[in-house]
Order: sequence, then C-alpha cells, then structure tokens
Amino acid sequence: MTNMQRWLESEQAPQGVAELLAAARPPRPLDAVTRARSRRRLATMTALPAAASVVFWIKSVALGAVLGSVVTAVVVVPKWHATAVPSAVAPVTQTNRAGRAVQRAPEQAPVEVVPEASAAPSATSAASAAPIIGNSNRTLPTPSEQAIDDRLGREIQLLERARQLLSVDPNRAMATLDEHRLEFGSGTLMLERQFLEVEALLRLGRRDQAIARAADLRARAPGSLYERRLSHLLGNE
Amino acid sequence: MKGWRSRRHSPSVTTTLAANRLAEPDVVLDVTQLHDEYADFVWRSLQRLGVQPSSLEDALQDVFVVVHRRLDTYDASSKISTWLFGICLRVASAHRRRAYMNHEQGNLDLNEPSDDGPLADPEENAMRHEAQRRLEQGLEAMALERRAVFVMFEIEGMPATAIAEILDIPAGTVHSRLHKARAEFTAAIARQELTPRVGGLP
Repeated sequence: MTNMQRWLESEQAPQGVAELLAAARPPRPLDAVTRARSRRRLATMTALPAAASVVFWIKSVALGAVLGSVVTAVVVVPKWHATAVPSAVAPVTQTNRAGRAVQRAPEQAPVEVVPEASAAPSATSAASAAPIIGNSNRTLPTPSEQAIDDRLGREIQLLERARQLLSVDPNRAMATLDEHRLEFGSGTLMLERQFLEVEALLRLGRRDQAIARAADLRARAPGSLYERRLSHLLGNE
Repeated sequence: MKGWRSRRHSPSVTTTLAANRLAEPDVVLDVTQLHDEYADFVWRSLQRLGVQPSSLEDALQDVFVVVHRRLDTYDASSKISTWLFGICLRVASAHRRRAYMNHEQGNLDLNEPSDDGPLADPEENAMRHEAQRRLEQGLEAMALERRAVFVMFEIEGMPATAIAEILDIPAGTVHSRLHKARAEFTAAIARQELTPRVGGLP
C-alpha cells in the first residue's frame, strides 16, 4: 500500500473539493466548563444506582405481589368458583355496594377467598367474589401490550424521578433526563422530557441553552399545552 | 502532516488506564477516571462522526452513560480508545437518526461561534458558510466509519498510522476506507453541482 497524500497537499483533489476542505473547521477541543459540567453530571449519575437499586428492588417485589394477586384473582378464583359455588353470584350483584367492593377485590382475593373455600359462602365472601367472577371475562394483556406498559412505566419512572430532583438537585435531574434520552430517545414521553430539560437548564443557570431547547420543543409541538407551560417558565422568550 | 500533533486528542492512544488494565486485569476501571482521560477524545470523535455542535454535549453525556453501564463488559482485548470509539459510533448514529427525523440533517449550526474569528468581509463569510454546508452534505453521504477516517486524514491531517492505531485497524484498512470515502465524497459533491440549492444561501 503506497502512502496516500492529503488532497489539500497533493493537488490531485477533484475540482472544487480542495476549496471545501480548506473551509472545514477541525473538531474544536472540549472547553473546561463543559468538561467540568459533564463530569459533575456523570459523578451524580454514578452515585444514583446504589440507592436506586434498593428502591427498585422494593418496588419490584411490591409489583410482583400485586401481579400475583391479580393473576390469582382473575384466573384461579373463577375456576374454583365455577366448580365450588356456582350459585353464589346471583344475590350479590343486586347492590351497588357490592359493585364498589370490586376495585379492592384483586388485592384481597388470595388472602380472603381461599380460606373460605371449605366453609359455606357467606354474603360478604360472595360480595368479594362477585366482581372477580365479573372480571373473569376480561382478557389479560398480551405480551406485547405488557411490554409497552413496562416501557411506558419505566419512562414515567425516570421522568418522575427527574421531576422530584429538579428543585433539590438539578444536576442529578439532568443526569436522569440524560438517562431517559439514551434509553428511549424519541419515546412516548419525549416532549415531557424536553420540557423538564428546559426547567433543569434554567435552574442550572444555563438560560441560553434552556431557550434553545424550548424553541426546539415549541417547534415540535406547536399549539400544545407545552407552549403555555414554556411561556409560564420563560416569559416571552 | 505537520500540525496534527498540536491538535491531537488527549490522551495519547496508549494511556495510563489502558496500560494499567492490560498489566493488571484486576484493576477496576472507574467511569469518572475514564471521563477525565478520554472526554476530549470522545468529544472530538463525536464531531468527526458528524454530531452537530448543538447536540455535542448531550452526545458526550450519552457516551459516558453507556460506558457506565457497559464498563464491566470491556475486556483488554481491544484498546479503550477503540472500545470508546465504537460507543461513539452508536451514539452518533442515534443522534444522526434523530436529526434526520427532525429534518436537521445537513444543516450547519451557523450560530455556533467560529474558530476562525470574525470575518470582516460579509461576502467571504457567506462563501465560507456555503462551503461548510456543502462539505457537511458531502460528509453526510458517507458511512460513519469512513467519515471518521476521512475527517481525521483530510481535515485534521492525521497520518494513516495514527488513525490505524486509534481505530485498532490495519493501515491497509485505513487506506481502503479512505479510498471509498473519497469516492463517496466526490460523488456527493458532483450531485450537489447537478442540483443547485433552491433559495440561495441560508
């Protein structure tokens, strides 16, 4: 392989190309302020996971318990009821009060219903069972729907964390928003993230960047609620 | 090739951290240390890969977020700079896609302060901006790996051996990428001349 020469130095460049290359700006170096800001945000981010993982662990355990209850209530109990107490439903569905109990039934179901299986069903046990039977026709989310829910849930979780951090530690809020951007890019809640970025930049005293980000958001969502929220945040800028 | 050393990214390709890692596999790499040593390299690489000035800081942060998450997957089989460059490629690609979705592709950030200082002649200024816009469009026509090689060689004036060392590829591969990049660039510039810009200068 022969040594290649730069077009600018060899005079072999196609017509017009050398002029374009001569106009090029070489990559500019990283300035000290940006470097320090980036490092600070990174340091904040690396400090987050240890505390966050405990919170997520607790949340995931709680989520697992709730999901387990729902699955038991929707799948197991109706089967048991269909075979064991087929006539218990009719009298209960008459009152509105029973209908109100519906909303709390899934969490209570595994605890309350299973021990009563051996006893004769009372009015109250039937009341808690009624909505469950009513719900048995409901379809469970498909795996893809579940994935979408999980994804959206994660987006909400990140943005909510960023929102809470805004007033106490805008640097960490910004780091969390970076995390959202990296994970979801133009995800469902991208506009909300951009709005929070504007607020975080303002709190960090980077007003020019906040205004630029706000202009971008306005262009993406003209006439939306964000315009009003931005006007409230930035005034007429 | 004179002059590239003065603009050379810091640190040099063989760095303290990389050397430590190779010498002692048990050395734990810390992301903030990596940031201290490689932020400048990442910053320049992202520019070479076409990340617009307005997105640079976000992209820099994105790279180190990935580094933070994936640090345990790094093995000493490649140089840290090469590993980082791979991450830069993916982040730059994501930014490029996003810019394309937002119709920002090929638009120079003309509000960005110029390194050349203020130009007295507005006409000369306009011509320079136009040349930079066309150059950027030509660069956009290339695949990112080739773009990086082209920018390092043709614009930054780095020798092929240094490029090969950074990217951890044979010098022959540098030459072949450069050859293809030049062909793509020339073709893109020729296309520009066939389709003059509607509306004149920005």
